[in-house]
Amino acid sequence: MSSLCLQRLQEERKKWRKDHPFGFYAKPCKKPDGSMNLQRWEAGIPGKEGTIWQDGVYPITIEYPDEYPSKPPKVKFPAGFYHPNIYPSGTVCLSILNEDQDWRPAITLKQIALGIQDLLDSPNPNSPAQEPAWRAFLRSRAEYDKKVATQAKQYVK
Amino acid sequence: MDIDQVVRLIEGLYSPQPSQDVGTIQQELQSIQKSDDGFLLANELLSNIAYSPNVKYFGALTLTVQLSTNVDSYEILWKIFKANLLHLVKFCSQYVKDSSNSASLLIIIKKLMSNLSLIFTNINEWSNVETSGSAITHWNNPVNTVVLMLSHEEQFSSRNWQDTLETDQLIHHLANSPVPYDKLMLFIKTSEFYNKLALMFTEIIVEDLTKFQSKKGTMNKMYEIVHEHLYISTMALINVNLAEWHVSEDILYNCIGAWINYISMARNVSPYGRMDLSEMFDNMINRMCQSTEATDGFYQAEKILGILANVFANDPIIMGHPQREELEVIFLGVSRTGSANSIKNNWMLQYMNYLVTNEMTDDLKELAVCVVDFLLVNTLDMCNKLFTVVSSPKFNGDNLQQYIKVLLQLTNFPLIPVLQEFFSVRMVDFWLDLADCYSNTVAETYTESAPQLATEIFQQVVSIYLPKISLLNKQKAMEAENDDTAMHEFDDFRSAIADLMESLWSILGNDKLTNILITGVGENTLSTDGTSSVDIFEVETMSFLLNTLLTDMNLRESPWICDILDSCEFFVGNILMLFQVGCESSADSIVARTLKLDFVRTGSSLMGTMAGYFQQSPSQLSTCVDALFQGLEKCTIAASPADTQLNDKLEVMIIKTISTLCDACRYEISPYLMQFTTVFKTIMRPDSNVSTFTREKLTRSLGYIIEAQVENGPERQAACMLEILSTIESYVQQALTISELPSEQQRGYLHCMLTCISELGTAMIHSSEEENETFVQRVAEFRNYWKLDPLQISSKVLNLLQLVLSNPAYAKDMAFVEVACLILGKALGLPYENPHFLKYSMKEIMEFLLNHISTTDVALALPYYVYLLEKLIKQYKDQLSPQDFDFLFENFFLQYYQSAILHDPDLLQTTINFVNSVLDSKPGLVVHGAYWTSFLLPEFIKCLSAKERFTIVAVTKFWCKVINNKKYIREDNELTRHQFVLIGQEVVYQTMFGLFHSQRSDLSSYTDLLRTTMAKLPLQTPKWLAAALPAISKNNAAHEKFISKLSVTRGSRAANNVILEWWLSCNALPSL
Repeated sequence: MSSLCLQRLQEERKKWRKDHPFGFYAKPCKKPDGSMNLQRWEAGIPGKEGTIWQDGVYPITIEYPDEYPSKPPKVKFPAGFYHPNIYPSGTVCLSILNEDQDWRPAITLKQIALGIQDLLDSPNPNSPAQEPAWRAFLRSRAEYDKKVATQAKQYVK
Repeated sequence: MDIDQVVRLIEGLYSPQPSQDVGTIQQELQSIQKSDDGFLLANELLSNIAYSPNVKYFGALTLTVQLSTNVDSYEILWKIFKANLLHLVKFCSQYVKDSSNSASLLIIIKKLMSNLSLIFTNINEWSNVETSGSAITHWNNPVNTVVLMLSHEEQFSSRNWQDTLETDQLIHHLANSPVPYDKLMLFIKTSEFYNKLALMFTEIIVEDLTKFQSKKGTMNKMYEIVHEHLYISTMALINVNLAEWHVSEDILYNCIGAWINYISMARNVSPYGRMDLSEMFDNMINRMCQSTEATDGFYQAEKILGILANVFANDPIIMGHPQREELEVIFLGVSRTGSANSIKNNWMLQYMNYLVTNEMTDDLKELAVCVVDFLLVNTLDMCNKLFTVVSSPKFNGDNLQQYIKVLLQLTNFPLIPVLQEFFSVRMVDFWLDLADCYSNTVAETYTESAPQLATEIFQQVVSIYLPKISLLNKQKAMEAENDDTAMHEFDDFRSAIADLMESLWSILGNDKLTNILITGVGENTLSTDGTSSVDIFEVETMSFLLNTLLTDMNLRESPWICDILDSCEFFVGNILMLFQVGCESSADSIVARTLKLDFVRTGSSLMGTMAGYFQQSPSQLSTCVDALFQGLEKCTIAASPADTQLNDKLEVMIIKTISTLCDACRYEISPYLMQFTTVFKTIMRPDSNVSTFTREKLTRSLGYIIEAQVENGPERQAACMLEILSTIESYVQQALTISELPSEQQRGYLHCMLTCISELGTAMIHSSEEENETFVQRVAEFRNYWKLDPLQISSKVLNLLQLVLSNPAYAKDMAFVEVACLILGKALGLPYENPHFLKYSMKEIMEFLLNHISTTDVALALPYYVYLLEKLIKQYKDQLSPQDFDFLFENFFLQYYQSAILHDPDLLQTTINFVNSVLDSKPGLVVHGAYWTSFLLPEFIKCLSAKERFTIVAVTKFWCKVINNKKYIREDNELTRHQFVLIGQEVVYQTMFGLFHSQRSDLSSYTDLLRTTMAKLPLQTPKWLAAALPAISKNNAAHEKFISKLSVTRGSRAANNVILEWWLSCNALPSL
């Protein structure tokens, strides 16, 4: 890991601990020897109140490449996560996480976490990443809502 | 437009009820501001004494517009500079003479100062400027200039503040004349308002410079000039203000804050950005300590601490070491190096006492943030001094012990966290940092006593935090606050402590942390007379933390922990008590509901986490499961809507724990199969008040237990399953007998019944990782049994599905189609040797689908069919022939192609993907089929120019697989290559046509296809491209470049760029 990457990740950790939105969590994973792996984080995104996502806290992993912050982190939900903009592998399709789109080195973990929370209830149908959720979202909202509610129970707060 | 009309418009603009549209007024005024008359207008508005402050302000604003409009003319800049200065000095003079009646001038003064700060940058950054000789080419210190002009005020006022030959000469003379320190001091002491204006001006300049930095990149020359001139006068101003007791504190502190921000920014981008602030910080610290309740109600202290908090949060190193050490003594009464000054620390104690006594929680929180941020600056140093040999010889061990004692006291602030104090909350960060520093330190550098010392310190930290995070405190915090903030903050505090425990575990280990918590939970229980010697809140706190620690462990493989758990005879009992107290506690208020939820969450989560332990020591497992079922039963009773909402959450938590235990402890729990079956039958009843989620989870849990019934052979398993399926069957039949149209509730219920079958099927899939020995020995027996299926269980399920889907209401309901396909496909893909009660033959599944297809809506059902068909082909590919594929393709796709699929991009994509999956699995089935050349190839060529991204991705993948497929056998390869050579021209044309007309974001979808075609057919592809491209776009140069680049490009990214370049060029868009 480059010193820039390490420095920035330490800074991100400090910032997050000091100021993060309620209900979210994020922490670096542990290596097998018990030491901290700053390049891989586990985090939880609570669904927004008043939405069909509200009952769950959805787990994600955030992997920071060696080139971070020049390159964005890769954010993944569990494989098979039901959402129109989440790939079957769980990878999140979000412009601020795309190097060729809106990623900027100044984007913080807090902004990413809030961006993903927003994405949950405001999918972008123009950028589909998985077929079942995308199809249901466009064609059968009742089915979509039901599946999201069941998924929320799986990740209940 | 004459001046009176302009003035009327301006007054209208600022009027609360404008006579005409504000937008129109703004447009009109803006056009005048930008015009060549703008400067004259500004002068007139600022000169006429009769005009209102609004009009004058608009004049100052007009000068700003002129500044940004005439960016290329140095002469105009100079003209504006003089006018701005003259007006500023005039208004400052008026303000100083009669401040009470001229207060409204301040806003105009600030605007003019801001204009001058822009001019300050423009003059100095305008390199190699050529002027007519009448303008200055650099400007050192705007504050000095204004000070000097105010000192020569009469000479300007006698010229009526006009830009005349005399004033011009005077400005030339004064612009860069120095102001010695004494003269500056004399000037500000002349009037407190001069002092105020000087501070205000320097603040505005550096604020603007900080803002400009992000816009302009580096401004090296400016940093140098500020460093050499403005910094010196400003520090003189600030320090004299701090040292002497002036009244304009807000302006002073705003000015200090702006300078700190500026230096913090500048020192990272320029060597001239480094400026010493020691004297200023010394003066601030002194002044802070002079601020008391008696003198100013700690007003100054609060302001200074606000600035210090900002420094420590953003750029702590900006403060020198001596000042930080002094602050350390003030904050803590002791420093790491050994300095101590109880008098200065007394001030801190008085201040804290004042905040506590007056219940000034927000201020106390700010102080906590400031102090802890300050402490965080030195964690590494502290870690070294405490635990390693890497410390200075001056280091005094006793002193550091004292230091730690103070920090522990600060952590143990004797009030309710979140509600009344924030020190303990913020100190979590400090201890976490210290623990990380300790853990990351090279072990060889530890002192001999380091491990012992670390243990002592961190054990105290644990002891301090245990009562702090008690739900009793959460309850108090919630009761005292009206909104959810306190609750959320407290939850965050608890999560932070859980993180801290994880870090401390690597230092304290199981011995001194996990085991202590286990003992804490399990050492006591209710006494014989029924009086409790157990504090249930304490049990909750320790269980909460224990859960965090145990989650990361595999208890099944941690015999030491299991031994400790075994030795605490009340442990499981107390966890159960915690859970039961939660279930039985009242829910008559928001606070009560929240605590109830917390108790149940902690209790049930820990029970689930202990599944590995129960595998080793199952004696209390059944008690736990009983308690969980009792809890579940209570959730079905709801008195109010709020109860229902709460119960839903409790129900989910409890059933998830049951499911976790059943999954992990399926063998240990198997003696209770009968009890589970009884519960199952109860909750499956249509009138049972449980959610579908619970029904489905419980069925899966029961499935785990049935899966573990291997001792008595497959017959026993089959009998259990038959009982379950018969129960479901009878409820399904009952539901179907209702003749009228099904209600939403009935539909949901029926769907849930089928989903339960699917859940049972999932539970019965044997995990290869956790094979049971008996099962492995008897696997052949199980396989043979399920092959014969003497109880006809698979037929029973199939018949049930047919029964439900024969009802027209459900045949067209996609939720039912989906679950039917899930059930039928459940065992497809399982290895041949794995037995399963849902293994269906190809014939059975095909018959089912063919029966059903005539009664459903194919357009909606096709994706679910395809899911099943794909699995079917993968499973039975060796038994299938191209004719079978043709049959399947004809019946499920071709028949509906024109009527439904072709017009629906989703279905089109589904169809293409299906063919792709066959090409992935056994391509011979499709390429030797009758529809390959007659239908698939010609149709999928057309799809290359589709507009929808999903279709494009699917069809380009198809063509890639046609050209390059590792699953081809030799015959497949020869055939497809021959075929592609014949149609390659058309494929390439359609690809490029589609690409040319697609959106920029879709271009990458074509990359792989073009790369593959070029790689596999390097001779033909350039020719095909050369023939195709001119028909798509008339840009031969771009085409030539594209073809030559593509043929030599390796790598997807490079190919993407080549394609993008061609696309931009042909669409007449700017190149990269």
